Amino acid sequence: MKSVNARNKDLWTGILMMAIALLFTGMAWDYPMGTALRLGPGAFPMILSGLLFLLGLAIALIAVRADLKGTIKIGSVEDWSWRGLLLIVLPPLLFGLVIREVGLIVSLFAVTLLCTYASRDARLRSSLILAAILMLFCVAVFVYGLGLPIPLWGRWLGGH
Amino acid sequence: MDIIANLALGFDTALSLQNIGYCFIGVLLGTAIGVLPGLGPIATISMLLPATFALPPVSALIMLSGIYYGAQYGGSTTAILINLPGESSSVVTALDGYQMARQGRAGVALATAALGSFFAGTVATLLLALFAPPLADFALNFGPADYFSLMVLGLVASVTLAHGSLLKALAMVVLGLLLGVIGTDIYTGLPRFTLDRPELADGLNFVALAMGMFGLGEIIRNLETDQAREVMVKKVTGLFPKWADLKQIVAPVLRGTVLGSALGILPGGGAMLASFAAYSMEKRLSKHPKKFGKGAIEGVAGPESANNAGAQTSFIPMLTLGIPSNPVMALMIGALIIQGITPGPNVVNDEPELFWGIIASMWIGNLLLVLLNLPLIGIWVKLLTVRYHFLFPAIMAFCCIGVYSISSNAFDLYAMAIFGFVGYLLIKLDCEPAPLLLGFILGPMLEEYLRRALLLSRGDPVVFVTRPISATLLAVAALLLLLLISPKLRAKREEAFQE
Repeated sequence: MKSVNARNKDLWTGILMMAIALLFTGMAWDYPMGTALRLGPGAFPMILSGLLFLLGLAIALIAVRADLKGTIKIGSVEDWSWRGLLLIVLPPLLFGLVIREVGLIVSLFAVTLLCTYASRDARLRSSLILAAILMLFCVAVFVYGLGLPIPLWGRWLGGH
Repeated sequence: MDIIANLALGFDTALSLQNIGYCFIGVLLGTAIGVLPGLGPIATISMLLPATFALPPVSALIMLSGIYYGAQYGGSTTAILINLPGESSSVVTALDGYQMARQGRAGVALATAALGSFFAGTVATLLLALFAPPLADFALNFGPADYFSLMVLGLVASVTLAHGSLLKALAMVVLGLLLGVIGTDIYTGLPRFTLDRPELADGLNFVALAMGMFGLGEIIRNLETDQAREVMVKKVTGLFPKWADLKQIVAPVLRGTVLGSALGILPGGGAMLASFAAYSMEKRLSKHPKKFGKGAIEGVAGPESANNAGAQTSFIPMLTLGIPSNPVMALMIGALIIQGITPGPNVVNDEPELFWGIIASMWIGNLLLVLLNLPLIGIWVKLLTVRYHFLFPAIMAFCCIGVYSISSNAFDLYAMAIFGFVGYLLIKLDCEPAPLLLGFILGPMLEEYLRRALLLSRGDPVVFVTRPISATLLAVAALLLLLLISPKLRAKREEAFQE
């Protein structure tokens, strides 16, 4: 028997899949469907969206049916590691935003320093050392070794 | 004998100084990631993909394949020494391998794993050389309708490997197919689902997607459970198995090799399925099944041979049909496409150096792995204990630079971050991201074959069931689906995963 938590996850999966299917259907609405001989650009996405919606519906219904007597908790997010999520997803966004402006050296240092705090064991001193080593290593390997055309210093810092 | 001439060509290619170098880097990295905590072949290969774009296709594929089968070797080392399987395919090795280590027989267990893997790798490489070309010849008769059905079968089969709910795994496949459709329609030039971003005109970047879901998503998950690893066995001695040990492992190695080779070819197969199947087979055939789980050497020899054989033969459908049997093969297909090579039956004839070079390199790689693993075991033991919180910032740095280097475009970084979140969300919802990647790679091809098949049949969808090859493939897919939802088999499958 599946636990309440597992059924809860199934329900959310079903809802999410149906939502995504509707989103794609909405966008594909204006694409020509074509004929059976010449399928238009809208046909394949529509088939897939329909299939995804049905799968989502089935997953959600099975979860609800199995849980008719119990309670469906809406959202059990206490076991999410928000710290990890935030500090792993943000650094690449930051890297993308500032790479042209400040260049590889500064942005890479910032990214690695920031993401070490995704771990609860992070200490400032070892994080600084780790970020510095990684930065030197990557500059040596990727820029000088492999010759990737990434500017070391960005526009703001006098690079190009 | 064609095959000898072909293998000669292969060894000629694979033995060039450059390619031996890439093979060496591949298996070295593969072993390292197999040993290091929380870093698997999918994440590593997607991180290294951008670096291979500049290489010749043969060298790129040789290195990437080395990572895949090298990881099978490394994964078994952690399984034996610290009871933590480095790869999903080494899960069963931990059962008896770790017990052997506790009894002071770590060296014998490691040697058994390495020698069994080497033997299996050699046989599987030969099988690949023997069976791939005829299969490719056969596949040349395939029309678009047959290809469509073959891909459907491949996708359905990939679901069998996913843990947990089948419906969820199917939903992941369909979601992957939908994401694969994003981009400009090749027939009409209409941009689809691009949100008016020019960066999406060529579709979502599959490196960004794979790095996000398998690189970043996994990091967030691993951080939840990061803790220090203890190596009980400080020094590994007695690497050479005794005569009695050797006699004991011959039969399991042979059986594991046969079983692994067969399961590796199946769509949805590969190393993991092979090792699980081999373990339960050895347990059933053994005269003293009670010894299993308490340090039976057969429990190491069988699965370890099977997973390596399966890893090698899973290249057969990828190289001959262009169908990935697991996510790693999907990445290989992506790498081929970026190199300008259309995966499919034409590869054998049009790119003989690539095809035979990869095959020959696998045997060389296996040899290198035995040499790397046994004498250098001390180094791997040290790597075992690297704390994850020193490792993941490096993965992060490589991912950022790697994805940015593809086209110096910040958009790819945003895509990677978003898919990092999506990957974690899916893990939290108990949805496996692997089928999604397969769907994503096959999506555009599936659509093209569907449209082409309908065009050729003048719009008659019956073509999918009137062509014998296509009809057979669809029937197998339907049968597989039926089997999967039958309650009896479902119970058995859950049981198997729990073991």
